[in-house]
Amino acid sequence: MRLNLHIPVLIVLLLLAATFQENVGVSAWLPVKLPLLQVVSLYVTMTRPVQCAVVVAVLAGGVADALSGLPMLCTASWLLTQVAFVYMLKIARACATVWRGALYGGLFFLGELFWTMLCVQGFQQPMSWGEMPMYLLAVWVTGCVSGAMVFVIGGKIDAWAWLPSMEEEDVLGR
Amino acid sequence: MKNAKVYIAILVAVIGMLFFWHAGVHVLAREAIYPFQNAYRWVDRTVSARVQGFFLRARYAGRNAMLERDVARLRMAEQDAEQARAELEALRRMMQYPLSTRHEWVAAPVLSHGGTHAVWQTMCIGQGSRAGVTVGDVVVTPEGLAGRVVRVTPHTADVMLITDPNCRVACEIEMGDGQLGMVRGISYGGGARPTGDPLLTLLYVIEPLRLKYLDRAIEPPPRARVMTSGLGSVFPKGLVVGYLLESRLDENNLTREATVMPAVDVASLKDVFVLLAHPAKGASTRAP
Repeated sequence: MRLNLHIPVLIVLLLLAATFQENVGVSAWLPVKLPLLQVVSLYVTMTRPVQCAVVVAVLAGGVADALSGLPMLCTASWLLTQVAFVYMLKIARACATVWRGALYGGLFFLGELFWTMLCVQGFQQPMSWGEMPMYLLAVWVTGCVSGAMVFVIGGKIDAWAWLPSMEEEDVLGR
Repeated sequence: MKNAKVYIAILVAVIGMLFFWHAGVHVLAREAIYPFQNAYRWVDRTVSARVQGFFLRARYAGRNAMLERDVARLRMAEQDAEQARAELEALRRMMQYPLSTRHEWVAAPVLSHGGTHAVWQTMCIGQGSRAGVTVGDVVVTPEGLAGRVVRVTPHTADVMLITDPNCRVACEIEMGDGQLGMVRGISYGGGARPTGDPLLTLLYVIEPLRLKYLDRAIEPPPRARVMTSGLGSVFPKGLVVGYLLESRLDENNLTREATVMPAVDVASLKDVFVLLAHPAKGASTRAP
């Protein structure tokens, strides 16, 4: 008999992501926090069934909002939108490779940042148009790096926990 | 099918908690990651200090000797200060002035800055309600005022820094010629903003504080010390807030406003002191 380690693995991933996202501070070189919770949600969306993705999106969003003092469901609503996007774009069942994780991590992080600014300060322009390209580039790179990190670590943890991929589960008929 | 039921049950529980127990979610999340943050801090301080110590042994020996001399000097200074304080209290009693209040404090390590999104200028410290920390307690460092506590869990507390745009501090400017208290104003946090420096040298800067509603007739000198005035009873009187950079008349020419460099480098804080309003057993005492 095999133990179902899906839920323990998800809890470990979320706790690690929350801790590192909190502890790695912003600096002159890193203008935003690493979006690890968002990328964990993306990783789960691309590697797990939809009901699991929805639970993790709400949980990761709730934790992120609670830890940073954002309005309730601000991040959670974006992460649910992210789940919907992934299923609409039909990339949910694609192989969760590191490159795809980095690419989508960067893109979705831009969306999350825009959504958070909208929740916090409405349509007020946060910076001048001239300053925007460099900032957006830094944000995109940060999202890509976080995406790559989480997909590598998530893949390793899944392998250590001996969890089957979605394709394997389909074959097994679960 | 069984898995789907489990996930639906978890989802309902999580959404219910988010809607009906929002404050509790914050406490749960903070307490859940507190052991990991503490471990991270322990590794950062213990392991990296030992590795550095191995490579920089000679420099550390010199530094240690210097610190021992400083500790001895500070012990002497503390004795003098206690004596002066006793004399002051006696004089206050004779003049029937109200006696100065002694604050009790607790030292706290800084666990993280800015939460998970760095939208607000906040930090999380490793002391909470179990150490007697309550919402509204003032957070200071030897350099000056850092902020005040806005949320508390049993082991941690969230601190709103003076650089946060939502933070207001009643201040007065030390004029240097006996006019302290003549120029009063309210300090507003400038927040932090991303910059688009083309050289990629600075992507994130903390703005100086803005001191508003100063008397338009008095032009304070640059680099003058800005202290808390004690008005409003939120912050005690006499804590250093920062140093004046420049001042000018506001756009209506009614009052003067100034920019102030914070005395505390909030981005690099590692340890702070919380002045307790309701001290628990074991807290130290300190006169502000």
